Amino acid sequence: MKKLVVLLFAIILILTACTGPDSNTGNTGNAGNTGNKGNSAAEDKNKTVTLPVFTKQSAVISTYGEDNDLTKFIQDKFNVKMEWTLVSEDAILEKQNVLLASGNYPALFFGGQFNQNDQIKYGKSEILIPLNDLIAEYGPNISKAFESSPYLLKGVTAPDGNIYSLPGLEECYHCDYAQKMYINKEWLQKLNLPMPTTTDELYNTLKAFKEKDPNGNGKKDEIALTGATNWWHGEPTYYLMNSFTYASDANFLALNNGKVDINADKSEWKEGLTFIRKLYAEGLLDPQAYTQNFDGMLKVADNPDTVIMGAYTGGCCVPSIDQDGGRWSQYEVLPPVKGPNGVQLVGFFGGNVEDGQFAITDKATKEQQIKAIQIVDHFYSQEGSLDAMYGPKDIGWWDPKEGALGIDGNPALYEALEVYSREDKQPVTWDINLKYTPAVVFNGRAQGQDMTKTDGYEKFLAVQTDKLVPYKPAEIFPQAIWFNPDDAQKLAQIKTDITNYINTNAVQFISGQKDLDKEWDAYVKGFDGLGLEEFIKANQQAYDEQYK
Amino acid sequence: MTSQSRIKESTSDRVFLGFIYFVLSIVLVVVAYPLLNVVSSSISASSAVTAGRVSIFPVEPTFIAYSTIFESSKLLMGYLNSIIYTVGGVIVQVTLTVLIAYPLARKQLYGRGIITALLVFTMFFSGGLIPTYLVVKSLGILDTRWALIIPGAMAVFQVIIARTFFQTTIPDELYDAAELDGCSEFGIFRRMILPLSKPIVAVLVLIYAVNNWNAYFEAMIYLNSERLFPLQIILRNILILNTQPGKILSDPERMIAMQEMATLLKYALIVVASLPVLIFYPFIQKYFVKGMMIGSLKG
Amino acid sequence: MAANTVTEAGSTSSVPSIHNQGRKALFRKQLRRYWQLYLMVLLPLLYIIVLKYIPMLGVQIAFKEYNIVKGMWGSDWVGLQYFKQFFSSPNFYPILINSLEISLVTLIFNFPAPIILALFLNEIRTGFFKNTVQMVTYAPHFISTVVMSGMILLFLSPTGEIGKLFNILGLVPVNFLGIADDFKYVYALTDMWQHMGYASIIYLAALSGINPDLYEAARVDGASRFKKMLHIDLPGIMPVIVILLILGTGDVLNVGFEKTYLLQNNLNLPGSEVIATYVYKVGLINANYSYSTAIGVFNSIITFVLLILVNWIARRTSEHSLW
Repeated sequence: MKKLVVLLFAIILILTACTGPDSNTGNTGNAGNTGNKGNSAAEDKNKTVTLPVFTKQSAVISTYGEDNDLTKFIQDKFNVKMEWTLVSEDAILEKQNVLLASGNYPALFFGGQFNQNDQIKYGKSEILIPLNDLIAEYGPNISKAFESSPYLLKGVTAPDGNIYSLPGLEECYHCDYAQKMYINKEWLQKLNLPMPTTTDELYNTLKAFKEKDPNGNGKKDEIALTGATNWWHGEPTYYLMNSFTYASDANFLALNNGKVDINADKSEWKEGLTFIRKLYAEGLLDPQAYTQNFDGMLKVADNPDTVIMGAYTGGCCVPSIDQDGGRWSQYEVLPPVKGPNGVQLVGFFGGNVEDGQFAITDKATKEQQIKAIQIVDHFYSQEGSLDAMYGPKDIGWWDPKEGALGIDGNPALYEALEVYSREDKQPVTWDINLKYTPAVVFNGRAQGQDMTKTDGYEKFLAVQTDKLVPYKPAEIFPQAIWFNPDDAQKLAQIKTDITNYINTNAVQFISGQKDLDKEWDAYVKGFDGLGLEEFIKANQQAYDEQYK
Repeated sequence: MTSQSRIKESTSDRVFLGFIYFVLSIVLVVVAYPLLNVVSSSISASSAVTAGRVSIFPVEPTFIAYSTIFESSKLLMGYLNSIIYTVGGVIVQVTLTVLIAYPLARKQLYGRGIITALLVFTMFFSGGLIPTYLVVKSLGILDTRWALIIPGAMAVFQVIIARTFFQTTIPDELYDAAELDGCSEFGIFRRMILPLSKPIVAVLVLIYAVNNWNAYFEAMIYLNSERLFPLQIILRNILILNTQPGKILSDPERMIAMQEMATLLKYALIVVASLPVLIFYPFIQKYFVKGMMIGSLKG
Repeated sequence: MAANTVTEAGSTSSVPSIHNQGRKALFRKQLRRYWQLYLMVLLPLLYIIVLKYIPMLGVQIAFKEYNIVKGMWGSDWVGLQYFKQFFSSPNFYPILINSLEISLVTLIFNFPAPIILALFLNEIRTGFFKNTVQMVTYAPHFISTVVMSGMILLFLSPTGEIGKLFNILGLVPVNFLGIADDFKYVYALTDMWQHMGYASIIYLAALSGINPDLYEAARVDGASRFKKMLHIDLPGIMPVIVILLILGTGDVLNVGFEKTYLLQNNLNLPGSEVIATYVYKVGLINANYSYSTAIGVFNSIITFVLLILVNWIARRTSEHSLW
């Protein structure tokens, strides 16, 4: 009896003890918000400003605290103290939503995820403050970035003229054209075939891959064309469809002479599906391209002893870049092939602005706002962007050696050590994308120029990408589109429904589950019930207002 | 088992026993095969893993994954935190669970139906993440260790299980006898029920311990500071390295390095994270021996 | 149920009837006699109220247009708007069916397996084999979903281990993850593989509580192992089985988000899109708290109705039920 009562009392005591006054670490929501929006009268320039910041926690950074080189650098340079709210990458959105909806958010976001709808929503509620004035006064590098990349300014400015969030921007040449197909050129040589340039030639080439035993082992184990799902442009449908009409797996909306439309219900799409169906039915397109993930495709590509993969669709880096002159060097980018109607396009993703990462909330004091903008401004400078990516100078990046060349063959601007490859596992940076890396900086990294070696892979990618530039589409629907918050939810649901509809039907036609001749019309008609008209209308209206 | 050798086993019994062994053997193989794959992959060269050369034996054995993991200073802290949350949590959880499950098992408790309904209702209706977060916040325990102990302090599921156990394994006659002896309710509980509850408590401890050890979501939501993170959070960042399909990774070198890191570490991480709970199991298991309950009763 | 055998369930007359007085007096008598039991219940109830019922006030958001600045109490009412929006999606019906089907199939496979495993393990004597089986089947529970999904994709592909098995048996390998109708079986069977050992622990514990005298009596009667299992073991753990079955029904719309999301692809999407993944995708485009709360309420209502139904059936057919 006694023991039980004592136990109960102990528990109650402990519980009440912890519900007392707010504990130690200073909840990020409360810290540093003396006087919120107002200015503190006497601004002591020497005072260290505490910055409560929300950011993504990186797998490779062991600490963000005092032992982190970038933290030390930034704290010294700007006289601040960082106070982190860390989240693992796949939970950023969830935690951000919880913190914001519950009112328990920190003053600053360096690693948030704010899409256009979020920015308008929080901007309107004045939870995120406009950054325009701060940028004008304290952010010269940011302003410069707006000038050199006008689409950036366009993508961050909300219809009310305010900028509520800044993204990280990296002008990565090969990423703009990442919807690629790679083909095994040794097999082409072995079979005495040229690089195919039309859909018919592609068909014949893939057929030869499958039947003529290019790996020479007497077995029909070749996989002509494969891909991966849930990976960087890995599904073959899109690359192949571009020989018939424009197709991008990032957005099903297309722009034809300023008019917003979808291509997925047109006759050209049907022709494209017919072609892909043919490849699938004859075993030239690996069905597993639609079910395997990146690991599965890599397994095919890295098949021990014998090469079995003829071609694959995706961004890059398959087979494993393991050694100089390794199997990976057998594969080259295949420019898009010309379809029967002369269409020859490539998926283009340039000029797009990602979700905002940086934001200042209404909980930040004036000093915190200024410091934050200054830090971000630093990351928008050339040196700062390298600090963000690799760590501070002489720790993560260095001045280039004599005669070093960059990706584009021009003299290198810097040389750097990739954070994820560091053997010393030193926490040198924060591994957040909040930086501005224009093309010239991206290309300025010292690279090996020999494209058969692993350290020349970046150059290899850039050169391969050159092949695709002539086929860039005339216009693409921009990714940064701003909607009225009242419509946002309905449009979000419609977009999800349409995306699912297009994707599932495409593979059903390709795999033969649905018959293209018999069921195409029903498929086209099905768009009516999804709210497609409403969706296109809303997008057209937004596009006209924002981009014309 | 000597008692069984006295009476000869009938043929049908032997066949049945053989069948049981057969089925269990198949289960063993089917479950063990992928497990061996995981363990072998954790000590194989990552290129072998990527190429699919590893089945149940390691290929090009290397312990680099484990050495990488153990080099991390965060790991030790994560382990420590996880132990604190697990042990602390279990103490609170088992106490609360038994405190309510036992009275609910007593037929004489007026209103137990209502109380049970109150509990069960919460299993299927919930205020949602944000209201719960607000309550936790108002308790002042956000970003403290209590945030991982209080919100999950009792699982109704476990209460129901425990209640069922109490109901089925403690006959009414025992209560009558105890009352005749002049025992108070607390007395009955302390001197009679608790000693008999070993299997029940063992189950509760195991399930709560496992849940606490694996808990990732609560830690992610309620904690902000690195130093409080349990093991699962620290490991998760590596595990998800290659499963973010929407992210465009511009730098192939980074992408390749991340891919290698993930492949190298993910299997070893599973082993490292699960080892404590796996080792814990045999200790709990001895409480499930046949006749445990009644044995202690007779004693 | 409790000792309230009084039948006047609805007497709310202001004049205290004899029955009312009887009930109140009965309660007070119980309270005096068993006050210690009531005291024990107090702390857990406090937890439930503070951490479960108070947050439930947040459910009102499902019927409001949640505005962060105005908060829960200040936001405007929109009634059933978000419910209607969700129901109006052409995907609503298919994803509801998917969620139900996946859960049902999972229940059908996953429910008997741990029971049978426990019963079988109970038969063999303690030793290396028994311990090994227990340990090995217990281990997979700890493989995180991310790694598990990756393993499933590799193993179940036509070129994976399962595919190789098909080849050995002379069959053509099937691309299980590419067939929408097969998704529920993939989900259920892999769940069974992963959790059956862990789930059997409860039953093993329950079996340990069966009176050995019953076994003794059975042996003297000359009952076979099988009969013993059927007539002693099974009835002995029947209360636990029934309760777990009822509780399991309550989980019926809770198809695990992460595993489903990682195993989805465009080929199996018609069979793999469930409520949780759909809401997640919409939420990626626009995070609307009222919308997701509304769907949560919808889930809860369906679950609750099912629960009451199953509990009623259990009460009719066996003597065990949740309440």
